[in-house]
Amino acid sequence: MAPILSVRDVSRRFQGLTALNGVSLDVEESSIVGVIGPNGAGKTTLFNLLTGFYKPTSGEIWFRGSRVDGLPLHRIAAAGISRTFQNIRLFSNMTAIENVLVGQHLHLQTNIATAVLGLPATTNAEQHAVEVAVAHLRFAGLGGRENELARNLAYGEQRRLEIARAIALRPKLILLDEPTAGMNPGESDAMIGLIRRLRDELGVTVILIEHQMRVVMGVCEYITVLDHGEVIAMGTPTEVQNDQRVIEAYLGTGHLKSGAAE
Amino acid sequence: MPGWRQHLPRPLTSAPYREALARFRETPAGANVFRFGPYALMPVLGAAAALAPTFFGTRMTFLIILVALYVLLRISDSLIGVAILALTLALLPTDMNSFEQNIMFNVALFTLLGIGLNVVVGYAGLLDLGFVAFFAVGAYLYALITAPDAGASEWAQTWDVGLTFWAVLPMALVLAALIGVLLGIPVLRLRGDYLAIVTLGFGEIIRILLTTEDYYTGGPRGMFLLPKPPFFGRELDTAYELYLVVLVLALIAVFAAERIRNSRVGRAWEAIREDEDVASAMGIDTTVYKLLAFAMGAAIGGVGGVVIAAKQGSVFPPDFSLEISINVLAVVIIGGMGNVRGILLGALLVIGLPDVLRDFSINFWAIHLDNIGQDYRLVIFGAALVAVMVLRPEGFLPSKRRVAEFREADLLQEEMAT
Ligand SMILES: Nc1ncnc2c1ncn2[C@@H]1O[C@H](COP(=O)(O)OP(=O)(O)O)[C@@H](O)[C@H]1O
Ligand SMILES: [Mg+2]
Repeated sequence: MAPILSVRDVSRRFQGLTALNGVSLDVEESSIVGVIGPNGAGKTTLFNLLTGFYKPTSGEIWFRGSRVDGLPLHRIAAAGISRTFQNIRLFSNMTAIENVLVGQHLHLQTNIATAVLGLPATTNAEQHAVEVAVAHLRFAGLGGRENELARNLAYGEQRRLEIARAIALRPKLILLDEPTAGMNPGESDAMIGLIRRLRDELGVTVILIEHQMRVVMGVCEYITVLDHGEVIAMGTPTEVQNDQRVIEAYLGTGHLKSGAAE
Repeated sequence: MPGWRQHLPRPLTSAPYREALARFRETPAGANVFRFGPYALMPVLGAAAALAPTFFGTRMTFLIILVALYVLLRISDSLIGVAILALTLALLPTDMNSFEQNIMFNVALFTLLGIGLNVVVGYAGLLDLGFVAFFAVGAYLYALITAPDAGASEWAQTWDVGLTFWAVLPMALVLAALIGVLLGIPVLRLRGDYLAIVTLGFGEIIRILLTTEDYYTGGPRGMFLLPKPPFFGRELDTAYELYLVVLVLALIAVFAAERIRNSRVGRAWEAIREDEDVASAMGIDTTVYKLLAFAMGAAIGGVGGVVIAAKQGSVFPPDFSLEISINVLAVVIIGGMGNVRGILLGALLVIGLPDVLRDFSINFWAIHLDNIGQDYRLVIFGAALVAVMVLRPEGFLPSKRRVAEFREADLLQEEMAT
């Protein structure tokens, strides 16, 4: 079966700095893939390229049979890729449910004219959208928090709201940038559960950037390791863990060891 | 940073009072006061407004209206509240002389314009300093295609179109919206300050075009002898009648703006204002939605222009100066950005109050300052604006979110100071 996502020899330079250098990567549909690597390795840059925040300096990105690199952000979203952010970027002065409703934008039809007319069809569609949004919030464990301003949610809740908003797009591929950053072990476990359910219940393909080895090893079926903008290893969690170059890349950072020991 | 501000007197809406009010609201008696208070207030307001001119003169009447409206707008959210409010506003000026009615007309007109600009600035977060351009488009369109003998415009004399007010209204709406889109296409790539400067330039360009394109516009000699709106065989020609026309248009605009705001479109605008890139990553075509906001704001501005042309019976380029854009923006900001109800209050304060202050004088013991209102009203007004922005930077009736945003900014400043 053809991969759902295919990154082909992609590079991205910022002025003098090469953040990504000739990265290639295939992702199978309905898999959970981890991207790991030391800080500054280029992981977030890869996500920014996949979602259109940045354009590649060279290389191609193919998603479900069509080329998506260079498309504007909203076209990539429409193609079926959505994401969360390492530094949470919610619409902080909107409520939780409004955040999710914004995520449904592509699946709603109301325009200025129908909004002003307020015909029953429009009202019903809006009502339905709200029900769907409530379901998405419940899915992410945020039931009952609908009308809270995003900014007033607890940190872990904000991370989950980003996921609720991302699934509201009904994506085929979801990119999670350090979803457990700053979480305690209990919260991380809940997050692992949520990530699995994204794939198992919603059938979404997941790519995940993660620092906690416990999470990576626990949830990812396949791992790509980046270092200094290059892929230094790929494979199953056990293969990667025992890869000499990976161990070297992590030497001194202590991440792999301490993470695994947690 | 918080230092000196702490020593200013606390406005009635500051936290301790608000909390006391909230506690009162939770008691059974308090709940009833809040539920029925607004409706009980209406007859009181009506009576006060009806009697006030006899006892106090215009200035006090106006202040009473202002205070009552403020209270009413703060606590009433319901449709009935809005209906009563509209009715009160419609009936209020019947007792006024024509000078006062003209003030009320201006208040209503700037409410309408404020609702338009608020879509652009308050909803979509695009700072537009050239709003007067669309106002001018509506006004000149009216002058060009209604007047049998439109002053110095050769074009109008040649073609002599002669449409009526009611036909021009929708045409101005569409034309202004189109021009809004045309302006938007090149400038919406810009963000923040740059957008403000370019729109400012656009407003000026339109005004200059009105002066130089005298084949069409009559140049500095303008266009005049414009007809009044026909209405069942007669013409609406008093300030009060035209005030009612604007009031109805403003009501329609409020209604449309609120519905759009609470729809998918309004959410998209709000998302763009919050974080444009993320909004885009949610599938929102930000260019299209920014253009929509621009077009809708412009459309309402164009409608306002038609009304002012009909009211004045003439149009001249200086009528469409930067000052109009600034005043509309002040209405939106003072009233409370993003909030439609606040705009009415903003218009009363920014447009009404300076005129009402015209005949203000102080005669107290040895102090006799006649007409300080006339001579210094703009100074007083400017000082009042500064005071408002210092004490209530979020405006008088902000949307809840705006309050939150300003709190956030304050907290950040405090954090940075420590
Ligand atoms: N917009 C940008 N401009 C300049 N340099 C950038 C930009 N984005 C990322 N970089 C640089 O690219 C490198 C990779 O960053 P990033 O992808 O954020 O790493 P990480 O793997 O920690 O997510 C870093 O050196 C970073 O400073
Ligand atoms: Mg990163």
